[in-house]
Amino acid sequence: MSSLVYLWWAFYLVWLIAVGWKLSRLSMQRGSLLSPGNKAQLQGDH
Amino acid sequence: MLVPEVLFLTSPYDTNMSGAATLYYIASHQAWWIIVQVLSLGFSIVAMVVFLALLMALKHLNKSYAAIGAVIALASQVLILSYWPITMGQLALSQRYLAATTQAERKALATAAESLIAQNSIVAHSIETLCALGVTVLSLVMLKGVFRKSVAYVGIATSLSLCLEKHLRPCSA
Repeated sequence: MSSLVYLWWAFYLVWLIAVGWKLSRLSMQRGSLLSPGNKAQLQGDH
Repeated sequence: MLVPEVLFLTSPYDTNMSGAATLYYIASHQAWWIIVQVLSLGFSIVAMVVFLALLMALKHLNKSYAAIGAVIALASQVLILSYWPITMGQLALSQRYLAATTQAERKALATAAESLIAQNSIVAHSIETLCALGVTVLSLVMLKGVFRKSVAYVGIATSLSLCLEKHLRPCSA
């Protein structure tokens, strides 16, 4: 296996952990990712 | 994800082994095989949950691109799960290989294993490409908000690193 494949896996893993962390924080803040408060916050970000 | 990768890389298992050698190796390292497969394939289920949640979080920014990215990324994870029957088939064959009493029986099982090994090696690169494409589309949507821009750039970097790998494969292998 090429060593650059490990680079791709490293980026993918870091990205997935960062995204999962943020999503779990969003869910915990409001009880659900789809709660009215979260929807408003997500729309507000836009 | 890291545990099965470390277990896989630190073992003498070689994906280019013959059918008979593969069956013998799996039969003598059954626990290792099951742990590696369950953890690596189970990771896909976690990733699928993340991609679905990401679609919910990003759909307010750009519904079409968020959906396209999530569907591509989910499709790649579904393809990864399609490894399950192949790897578990290899495990079942390895047990039969050990129990086989005649040379002809072992030869037939080794031939069957060769087809599973071939299936196991073909799809990997296309799945990585599909996954990178999905992550890139989702990351481009992420640049508009909700997540930090640095997270989005890491997502885009995954795709770039894979492109680099595809172009430099003969040099870096």
